[in-house]
Amino acid sequence: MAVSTMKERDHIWHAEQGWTFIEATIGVVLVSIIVLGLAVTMMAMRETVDQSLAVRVMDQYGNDMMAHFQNVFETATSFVPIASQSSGQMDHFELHYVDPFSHVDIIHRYLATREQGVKRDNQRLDPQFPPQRMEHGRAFGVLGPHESFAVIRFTAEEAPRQGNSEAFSDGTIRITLTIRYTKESIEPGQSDYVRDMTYDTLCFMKNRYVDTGQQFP
Amino acid sequence: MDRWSLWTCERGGIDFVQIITAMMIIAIAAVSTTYSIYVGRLSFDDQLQEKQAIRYAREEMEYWSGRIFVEPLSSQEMLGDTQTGRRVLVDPRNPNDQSDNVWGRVFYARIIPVDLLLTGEETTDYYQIHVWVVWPDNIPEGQQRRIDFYSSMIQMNQ
Repeated sequence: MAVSTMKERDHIWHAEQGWTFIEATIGVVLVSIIVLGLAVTMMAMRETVDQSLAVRVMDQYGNDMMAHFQNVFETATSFVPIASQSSGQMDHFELHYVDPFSHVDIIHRYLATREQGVKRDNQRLDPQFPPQRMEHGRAFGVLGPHESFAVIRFTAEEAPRQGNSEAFSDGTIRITLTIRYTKESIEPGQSDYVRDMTYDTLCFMKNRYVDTGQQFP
Repeated sequence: MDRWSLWTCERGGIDFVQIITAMMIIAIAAVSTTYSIYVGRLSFDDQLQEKQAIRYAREEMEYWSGRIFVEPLSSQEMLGDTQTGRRVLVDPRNPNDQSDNVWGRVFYARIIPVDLLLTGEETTDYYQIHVWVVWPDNIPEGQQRRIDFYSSMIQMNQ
């Protein structure tokens, strides 16, 4: 009797003639769980990677712009906001330079548009922004309306920390740039994914305090 | 029953034990891949946080350079801030959840006036500035990361 039970048990767990019904059922259930789990994980991972890449793109652009402004303000002699051209949180301003050899005044005009980002003399500072693609084989043009980058704030104001002298405040400009990434929801009724990244920095104009002809190059 | 028939069953196709083994291998591979991606993402976060820290350090340096250039600093300001620091947001991570924010602190060392002894009089030829930013590390957790900036600046009216 005991030998017979043992044989039956062996027969349930492994059969040399093929799969038993229990084996097949457990196998199918396990494979289904694995496939479902992998599918859900891959979808979540894809979403996370997309968002992560978008953040990297904005971060690179934001930091590049901040570094650019710190560099250009270093040799600028004056900062002139153009109030008539500014709208909302998008400022226009001019930076004046003096050519160290000819002493000729050089003017660069800065502005930002929502779709094209920061521009100098009507040329995009970074022609790669907004990006056409974030990775090989995947073009934003193909995805079209679902994903977009936009500059939603670009301000330049004399707003250093409180308690500073007027002399210092006059030559110190705070640049603020906010970039927005939007990924529209495919499911109707669900909210879009929106991520804003804000970058700001202080820019000090040394040459503002120096006589003409003695500016730092 | 042959001892090896469990592993090398040739008549019945793959065995239950074999499929369980295969699934365990797949599961280990999946977990490893997921963990690799997680670590990769943390590494990306590290880079992002480092760039933010560099931006804060540059801003701090710009501030003190400007102040020194334009006007004399007070004796209190010359002493530096090596203890408290200025609190800065290094990485907001999930913007909808304030609890996972990564905060750092910006410090600056005592500003050192340097006399090159070019003249007989006691003068300051330039000032040495040292700023640094400290923020918590992702990998390994519990440690701190730090970035240092050094610069020097003259005073305009000297």
